[in-house]
Amino acid sequence: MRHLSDGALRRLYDEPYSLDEETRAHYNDCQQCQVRFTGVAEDARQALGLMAVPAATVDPAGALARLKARTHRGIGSQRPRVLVLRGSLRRPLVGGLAAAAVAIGLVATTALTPLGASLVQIFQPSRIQPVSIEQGDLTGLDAFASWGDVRWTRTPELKEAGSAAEAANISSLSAIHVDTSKLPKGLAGAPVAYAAVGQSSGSVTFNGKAPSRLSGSTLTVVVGPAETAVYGDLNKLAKSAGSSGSVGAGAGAGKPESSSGSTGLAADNVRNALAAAGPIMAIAEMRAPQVSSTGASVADIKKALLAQPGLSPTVRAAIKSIDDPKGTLPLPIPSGYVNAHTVTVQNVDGTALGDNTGLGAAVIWIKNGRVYGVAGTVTETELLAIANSLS
Amino acid sequence: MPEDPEPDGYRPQAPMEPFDRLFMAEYGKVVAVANRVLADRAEAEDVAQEVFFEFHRKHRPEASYAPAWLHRAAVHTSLNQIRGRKRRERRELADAQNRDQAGEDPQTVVEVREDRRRVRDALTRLPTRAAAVLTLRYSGLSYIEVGAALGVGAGQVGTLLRRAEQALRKEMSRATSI
Repeated sequence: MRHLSDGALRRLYDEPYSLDEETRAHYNDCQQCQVRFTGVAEDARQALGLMAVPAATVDPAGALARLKARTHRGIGSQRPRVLVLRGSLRRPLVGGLAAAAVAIGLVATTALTPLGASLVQIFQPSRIQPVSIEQGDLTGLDAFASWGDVRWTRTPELKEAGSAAEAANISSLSAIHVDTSKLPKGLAGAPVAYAAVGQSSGSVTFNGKAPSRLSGSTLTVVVGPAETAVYGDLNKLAKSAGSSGSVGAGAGAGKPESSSGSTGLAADNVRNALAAAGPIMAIAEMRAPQVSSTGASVADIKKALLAQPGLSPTVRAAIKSIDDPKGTLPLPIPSGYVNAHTVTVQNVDGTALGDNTGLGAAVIWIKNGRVYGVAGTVTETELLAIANSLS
Repeated sequence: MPEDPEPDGYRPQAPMEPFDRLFMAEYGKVVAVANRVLADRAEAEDVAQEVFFEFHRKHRPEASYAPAWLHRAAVHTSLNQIRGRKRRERRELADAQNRDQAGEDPQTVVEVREDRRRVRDALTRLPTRAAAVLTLRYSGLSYIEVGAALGVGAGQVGTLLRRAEQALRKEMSRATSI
């Protein structure tokens, strides 16, 4: 057999098993080829040293979101100035925690307000800090709603699952495992419904009404996946909600109630529906979302917001705290309807939301880049026992 | 609560759109190829965005040549970019400043910067195919992938690579002796 070519020797250095048996057998017996191989290998090692560069760690999901934001703006647009942020977002909670949100009646009053829909998206949270707000606190943020429309490029889709394992399979998260011995009495034998929400993404492009430092920039949010386990009779809840005619309106209309009178009525209807349905408890887990920007930075957005007239001191403080080094997430809580305080759950700080209207309670915490929530028409102590038993 | 060893390592759910699947599979490689030439992660990601954007405009994600096209485009775009001297100088200045701020030994910073500059200059003087085979292979692509990107069989890659390494060594020696 002929001696190995330089090319074959070079490949032998990189991929020794790519050569056929006969070629390798020749090499093993041929001193001349082995000597030449030494030189080839030395050159390869030298080239490796020359070509060395610091490794580039990448975030493909975030990069894909940036690219999609760009393609939606059209061909020939400017190269994106990359800004990748991670944070929590209320909107996925609307999907992933739908049942829990209905139970505690928060969606109608916080998540769909300008503050809930926008401020908390660009953030790096490690813990949640409740901020008690009055309806009037949001007045100064009215203008923000006209700066651009949120467009979901992949809408959150709730998928029912037959088991925790199936929900985990859909969401790619670890299966929710509850210590059933910790379940409150009324839920011990209750049916369990599982669901998952896959990854979704949305973007908002600031229009000409936005301040100049934001105009033209696109924020893209990649959220999810999430999964939930809901304990209780959901059929009965649905029937109760239908007869009261309030739960759907509160969660689906997309606007907060505009007066304390109508909000009170909605709360009464939700409470009636939940009372008729019996105990309900929802457990949810969601992967922290990613937010990317084609131009505007967090500082730009904060400056633009803080420049709006009429902001209350509470909202002003919440905006300023967004990039707090401790990664605290300001969670807007409707003043007078929900009492919030800090609790320890799973060895981290969490927030317990106990409402004083009799609707129920919730515990929310962030750990290992995931947002967790347990909510239901049970006591806070019972919720904490469940939250700490999750594994 | 289960510990997540890679909290940010999201495993996308199936099924994904064909382009999303292609992007998730190839983005890391495309950035690696660009970074090998540019030695700058941010610029490498910019190049990757350009490459995928161009592919998205002109090609179907299901195309069998998609990965090879992306790899080849990453090399060429990066080499074209580095041939712009002003950009390179700005990048090197920023690189030096970053390293100075990181508290590294100034002498080491200067040497590393000078070595990288010489290698990049040498790459721009090599025939494009030689620079490409070096970049692709040292970015971690297999011989089959390198061959696909260059339009040659995997069996020829070893030969091209060997010649390119010798050419790079000569260029480096020539630059040093000047």
